[in-house]
Amino acid sequence: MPILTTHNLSTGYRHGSSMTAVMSHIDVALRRGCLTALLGQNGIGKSTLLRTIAGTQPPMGGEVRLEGRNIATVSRCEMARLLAMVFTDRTMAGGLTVRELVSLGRQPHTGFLGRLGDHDRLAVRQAVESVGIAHKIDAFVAELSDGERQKAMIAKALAQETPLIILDEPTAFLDVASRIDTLQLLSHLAHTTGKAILLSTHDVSQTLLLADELWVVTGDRSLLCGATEDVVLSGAMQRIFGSDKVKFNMLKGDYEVAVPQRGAVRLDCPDAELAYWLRNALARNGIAITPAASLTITATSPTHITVGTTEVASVAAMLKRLNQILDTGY
Amino acid sequence: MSRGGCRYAVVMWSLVAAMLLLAVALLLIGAVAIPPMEVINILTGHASDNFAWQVIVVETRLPMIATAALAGAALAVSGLLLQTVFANPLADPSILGVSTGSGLGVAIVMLAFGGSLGTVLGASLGSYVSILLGAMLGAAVVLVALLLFSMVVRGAAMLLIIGIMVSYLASSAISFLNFFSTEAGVHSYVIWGLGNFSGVTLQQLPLLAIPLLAAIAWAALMVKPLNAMLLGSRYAENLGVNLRRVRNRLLIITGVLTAVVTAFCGPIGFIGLVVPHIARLLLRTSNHNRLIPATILAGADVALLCTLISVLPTSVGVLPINAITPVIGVPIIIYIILNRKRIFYFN
Repeated sequence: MPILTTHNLSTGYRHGSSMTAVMSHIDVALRRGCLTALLGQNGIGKSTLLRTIAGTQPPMGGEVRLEGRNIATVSRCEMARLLAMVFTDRTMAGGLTVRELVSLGRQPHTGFLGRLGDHDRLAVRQAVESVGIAHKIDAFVAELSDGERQKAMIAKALAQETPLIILDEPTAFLDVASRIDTLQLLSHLAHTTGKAILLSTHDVSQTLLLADELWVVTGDRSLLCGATEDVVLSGAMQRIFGSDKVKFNMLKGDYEVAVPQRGAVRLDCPDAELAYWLRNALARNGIAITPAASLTITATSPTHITVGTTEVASVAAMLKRLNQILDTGY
Repeated sequence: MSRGGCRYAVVMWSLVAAMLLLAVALLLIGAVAIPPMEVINILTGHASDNFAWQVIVVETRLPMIATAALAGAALAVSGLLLQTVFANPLADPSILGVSTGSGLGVAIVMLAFGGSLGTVLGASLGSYVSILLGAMLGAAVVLVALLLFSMVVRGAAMLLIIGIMVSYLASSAISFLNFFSTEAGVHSYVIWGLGNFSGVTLQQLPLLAIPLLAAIAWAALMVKPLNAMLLGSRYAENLGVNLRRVRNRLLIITGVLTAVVTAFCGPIGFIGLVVPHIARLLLRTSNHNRLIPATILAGADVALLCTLISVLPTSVGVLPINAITPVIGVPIIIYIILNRKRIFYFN
């Protein structure tokens, strides 16, 4: 049974008596042990959807059910034990140690003064260990790198011991290595702990590699859901941006710029790696690859490329020669 | 044992020792020179040969020490709460205009009573309640206005500027009231505005101590939500904190602390701003669990130190407290601003 389901849910804002709907007719589910990624362009309503699912913003219609219960009937305290959130908000927690920060995740389980018991301390330690920053447990949060800080916030969410974790763009301010690291960690956590993890992100290529399920908000604000590959193969990725300036490359699993086509060549290259990067260079310069083209490029190594009859010793030289041919016709 | 456990004990005992030393110094030093043995005699309940000395120690110096310690602790705690509530390291009751607001409240009540523009000090017990209510109402109006603005205004600096503007408005209203007041009233109001810990009598002391101690105790019980608020409002709510209720309670506590101190001692600046930073730097933590006790003690210490400096020119009289607090406060604040990249709790 899914941990969370939505039933004919509509998200949006109320201004007095008028309502602004952002998305409607949302029927989705989050499964335990699954990393689910929410993709969509900026301002399309991803955060609104996450807030509505988390119960911090009332729905315009329909309902969200968490463990079978309508979240409108779940108290604040119960909610804190069912759902942990991770944001990229600036905090004033720099003067707390990692241990103290992660201990805050125990607040929904502790008493009035927040005193920690043995189980609480164990949960904190395990949470810090499972995100891989155990060596920093007594460091100040201010001393952490951006990636480590985000891991500390994920550890806080783990220490909350909730069956569901929602992260709003957890990789937004991280460098590439930390992004991959964080996504990998979340995928690992979902699979090993059996928690349902939902994150919104813009890291398309990494997400497609690691997410088990996708929620894709299309340009016309409809939500397409399913196993990652099913969603991608349905052509949903091209519908995220309602423009033809960016194209989703099904072979790369990422977006690329649609460059106006200036010409076409036939590519003859037995080496897969070399062929991939030659295609990359040609696509960037608006040169299509078709078997029927009159001009042929043959390549055996990055330093042995033949354009028509001219031999060149680098990709740069190949492009220079191609531009010459395209500009002068010779 | 978590990091800083030993440091905590050392800092707390040092603060207690400093408080005792300052209190002893304040018992011994003053406009009238009293032999130390006589002071000890008087304190241990033996009657002194010199009745005047007895009166000075029991009726003047003891209440002054208690007032300074209580007011310092109260202002420091109220500064700490404001810094956490507004997520702003430069928040404090005087900068945000809360002190000026309660000053205006006091002024309005004094004028409405038909008397001169004075303070709670000269007033009868009956009008004490209304003056204190005036101070609290003034503080509450400013705090609610700040809360509303903080929902609209993003960024720490903007809220401070709004606080300063609110402060100007309240000051201008006070000037109007002064204009229509008697000369004696204006004089006593100006004196009150300079800040003074020595005006509270032994009989009035409970009126100051009970609300302050109650509010400080209430603040100490808010450790859990205060720590959650360090993560910002969204995280705090996700941890189960009823943000609106907690914020209202914290603002009520701040309002009571600031209003009571302001009514009795005048609008005292810098203690609320500086002491929480001193406590954080000494303890190397932002954890309210340890920060609140340290802030209470450090607040008392700083206020006692200011009082000691104010009575040092013994023959000339007592210096106004507000002439001393900036001398201690401003260098510390400038140090913190200049070094904020290196200070551990800013990130």
